[in-house]
Amino acid sequence: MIRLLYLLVFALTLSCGKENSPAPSVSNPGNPSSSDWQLPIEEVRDGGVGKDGIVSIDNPKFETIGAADYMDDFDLIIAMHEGGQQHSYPHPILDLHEIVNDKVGNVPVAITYCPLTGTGTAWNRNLDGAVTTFGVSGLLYRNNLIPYDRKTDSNWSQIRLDCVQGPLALQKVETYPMVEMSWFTFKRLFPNENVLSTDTGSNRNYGRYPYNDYRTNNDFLLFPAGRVDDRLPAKERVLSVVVDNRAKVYRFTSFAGGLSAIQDNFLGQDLVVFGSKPDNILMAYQPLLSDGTELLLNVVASLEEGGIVMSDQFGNAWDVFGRAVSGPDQGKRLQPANTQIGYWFAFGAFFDRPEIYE
Amino acid sequence: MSRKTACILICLLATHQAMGQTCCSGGVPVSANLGMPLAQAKAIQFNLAYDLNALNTLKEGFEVLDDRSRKRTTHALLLELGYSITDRWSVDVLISGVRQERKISRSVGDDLTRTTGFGDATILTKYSLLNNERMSLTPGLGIKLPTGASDLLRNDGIALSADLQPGSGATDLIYWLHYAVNSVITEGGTFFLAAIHSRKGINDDYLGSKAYQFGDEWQVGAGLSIQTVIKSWITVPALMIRYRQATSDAIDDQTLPSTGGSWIFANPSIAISTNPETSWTFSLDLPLMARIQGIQVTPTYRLNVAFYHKLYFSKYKSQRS
Repeated sequence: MIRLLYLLVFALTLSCGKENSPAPSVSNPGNPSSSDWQLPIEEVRDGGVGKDGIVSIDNPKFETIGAADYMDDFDLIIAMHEGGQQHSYPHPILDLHEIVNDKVGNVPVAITYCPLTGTGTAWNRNLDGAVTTFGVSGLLYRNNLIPYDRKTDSNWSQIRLDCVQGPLALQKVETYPMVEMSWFTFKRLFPNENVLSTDTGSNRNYGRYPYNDYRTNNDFLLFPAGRVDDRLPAKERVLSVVVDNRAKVYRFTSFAGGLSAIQDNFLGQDLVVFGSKPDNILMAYQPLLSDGTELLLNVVASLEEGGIVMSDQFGNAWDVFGRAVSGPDQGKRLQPANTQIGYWFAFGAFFDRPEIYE
Repeated sequence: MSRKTACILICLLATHQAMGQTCCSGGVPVSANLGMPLAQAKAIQFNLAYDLNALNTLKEGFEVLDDRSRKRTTHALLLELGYSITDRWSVDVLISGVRQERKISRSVGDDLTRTTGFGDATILTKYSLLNNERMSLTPGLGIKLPTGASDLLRNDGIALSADLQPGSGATDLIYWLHYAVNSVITEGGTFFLAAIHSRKGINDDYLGSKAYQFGDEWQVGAGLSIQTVIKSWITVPALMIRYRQATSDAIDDQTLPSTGGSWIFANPSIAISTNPETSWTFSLDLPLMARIQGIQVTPTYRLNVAFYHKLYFSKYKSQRS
């Protein structure tokens, strides 16, 4: 009898091939059905850490520049200015949390940052009249972060800037200009500003970049890109401007000599793109006021404390956030463009053959 | 089989149930359960084990992070069959079923993902270089075959990451070594040394277009077991200290962040035999030290319960008894 048992077990052993094994199964209760997604489902990936496995910062605190001693000069920081208030978010903290649910001025914003595409965005957390918070879904589309909102559990695309699954599907987010620069530039322009504190509620080592050489290794993507456009190195940081779902990118190399500006037009939208490769800053606005007044913008001699970057024919001085900080239009803002800085491969993956400014 | 031979066999069994696979490395904890003790020619050995590997500790480098929200658990049911072709040559086959769980504790309810399926199968061939009542030395060479699924999707069609799959999708080479010296300290004492090296193959079909390779792994353990007889049961408590080192995983030949590391474990176990052919083994893995790459959930404990039975074909049994 026992021998018979052994024979059966051996037979089971030999028959345990992949083709004739019982079907393996997956259980993940609560996740949506595939029909809900506005993205090709086969290109949405589970990043491995699970929903909220990367913990968003929901009660951000801010500290002085001097307290941010984990920052190196070449580290990047993104900043926004709204309602008379500037908030700034160092990449080393965003690398580990990806989302900050904050309030700038009186605007509830979600700062979303994707370490894999290098893209950072600020968008309004007020959805259909109710303020919510965003969390990290643990999912990625073409390597890009998919935040979810905790009000409706809908999933959103960080680069597409819309809802890609759930009750709010296809709804667009309201974004705010976000300026990215190096820490050494930030310290020079805004020496008295506070930055997001490492007192995040999680004990993490913010002085260590967690993705090895990912930022500079052009051959290293964690997930399939989806669409590969190799006209530029995959990890070259570029500024993307999106109009009517088409993208045009601007390279730091166009600003290699220091602070300068490009007057451009993309699909009928006038743009002023300013940047400085030595200062590691690049941004674009529409040279317009909200009342339609057209501006002729020229860069100032150099970036100095306060972040003034351009002046116009009326004598206004404009800062990196597109604010008139002096002159007859003081307090007004340039019309924003739909911009993001990120790795070239990401824009090549999301947009059909982006135009490259040469 | 003489009682003394049975005692040695059970001692060896206790020392064989000691190697643990400890982090997310493609499903089945193969090294935890691989390698039957030496037996006489034509013997068939059978080992059925349940293995629970709980990874609830979030670490960065040496430091434990104050975050208990992430839990990874692997449940495995492992069946190993061993056949001794001659007194020196033997072959073991290990098959398994595995359940991988990932749970994130959240204020709005837990996020749970669970996969279940057959794991990879392993075949190990061993050759006894030395085997007498004083000591034994047995090297082995094995292969792990990608019989487990490595392309499971969530119920919404989203592909799961490699570490949640029941199988690795790759063929691995396994180098195995076991050395034991009997009558150490006391007549029933056995010193043992166990080592395993796994050279990982590449899953060329990861996410449809990527090549994924789990990190190569080294484990070396040394310990002592003491045989005692309680009532008529042979009881063998053992303690092993084990070092495990795993290189980082790779995607398309690029090092995957937050994978790989080094660990030291204490591994107490006890084997209890009610008769010369049958025994139960209970073992526990407790991490003493870990230095991991990046941030990872890392082993908190591992439990293993195994039932072992050995059978001889009758004509050989009569010769051996």
